[in-house]
Amino acid sequence: MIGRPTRALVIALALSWAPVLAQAEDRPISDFFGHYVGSAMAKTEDSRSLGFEMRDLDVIIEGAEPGGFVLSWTTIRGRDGDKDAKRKTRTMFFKPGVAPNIFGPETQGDPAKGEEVAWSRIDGDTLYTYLMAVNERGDYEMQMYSRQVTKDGMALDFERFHDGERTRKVSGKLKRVED
Amino acid sequence: MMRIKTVLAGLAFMALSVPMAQAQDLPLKAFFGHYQGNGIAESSDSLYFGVTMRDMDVVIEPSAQGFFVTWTTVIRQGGDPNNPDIRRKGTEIEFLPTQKPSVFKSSTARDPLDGGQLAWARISERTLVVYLMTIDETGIYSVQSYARTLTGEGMDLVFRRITDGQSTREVRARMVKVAN
Repeated sequence: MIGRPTRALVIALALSWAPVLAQAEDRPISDFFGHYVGSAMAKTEDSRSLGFEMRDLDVIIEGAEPGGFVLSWTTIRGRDGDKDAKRKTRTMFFKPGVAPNIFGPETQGDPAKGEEVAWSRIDGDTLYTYLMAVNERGDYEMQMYSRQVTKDGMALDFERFHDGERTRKVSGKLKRVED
Repeated sequence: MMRIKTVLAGLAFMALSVPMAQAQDLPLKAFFGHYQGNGIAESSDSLYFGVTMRDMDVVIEPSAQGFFVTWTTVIRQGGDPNNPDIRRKGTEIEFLPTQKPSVFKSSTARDPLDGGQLAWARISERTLVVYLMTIDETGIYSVQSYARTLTGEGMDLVFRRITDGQSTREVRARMVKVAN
């Protein structure tokens, strides 16, 4: 027999947990499809200077058969249109992986040959993308992009690790735009 | 005056040449041997659960094309403090040369996204570092690195586990060379 106060407590606890449980469900990849633009602050782990700079960002995520997606992102360092602005664009295709929330490239790279290991995963409302490479000296570099769907668009965090130590962090907000 | 300048230049060259000589990577064969010792493991929850002691045994030996690293770890954790629970873990990996000098790859590397393990090794001066990378079923990666630095009596080991960018375990151990 459960008394009335106990039952009320159980219901209150269940209600307080409900949003957490709802958040824990992974979004389908189609929820991330769209065109996003915004800016971000890049911070270098260098105590000798303030070490930050602004960047403009452009991200496009679109569906690709069979059940995968194409991720394209552009980073502009310096003012777009300026002569010395640096623009870098990267496009990658990810196909469904071994689990519903995991995606991998068409062919995985071999780090021993200087190639990249890449994959993506969805956790809740965030799409994570990882790029790992081993350099000439045998150190490894890991780049992690986390792209969280928000009401207006996307929250981006990028971290670069060199041999396990974080060397760069970029955080930004992007708005969803109509093409 | 000229003689003083020549002496100073000679001293400066000698002072610079020592670090330059130290910076050179040791050949692989310098690491061959059998080492034993013990160490202390700290994890992200060590503040609450304390550190654990572990005994270690490492053999680094040549193979037909490269070299083998075989290591055994005996972990004493939990149970009665006077008679703790004991777990034993053993690993053997063969590494082969790559086109990069001082970098070696595992002979059995498999795509970590398909449940395999990537393993590679590098020599940096007096240190042989072995890396093992896996990706779990949720897509979260883990890189374990074993940095084994030669010392006068054997080697020092620093083991680190990085999970999704966070350091989750570190082990420091001192080992003595017991056989060549």
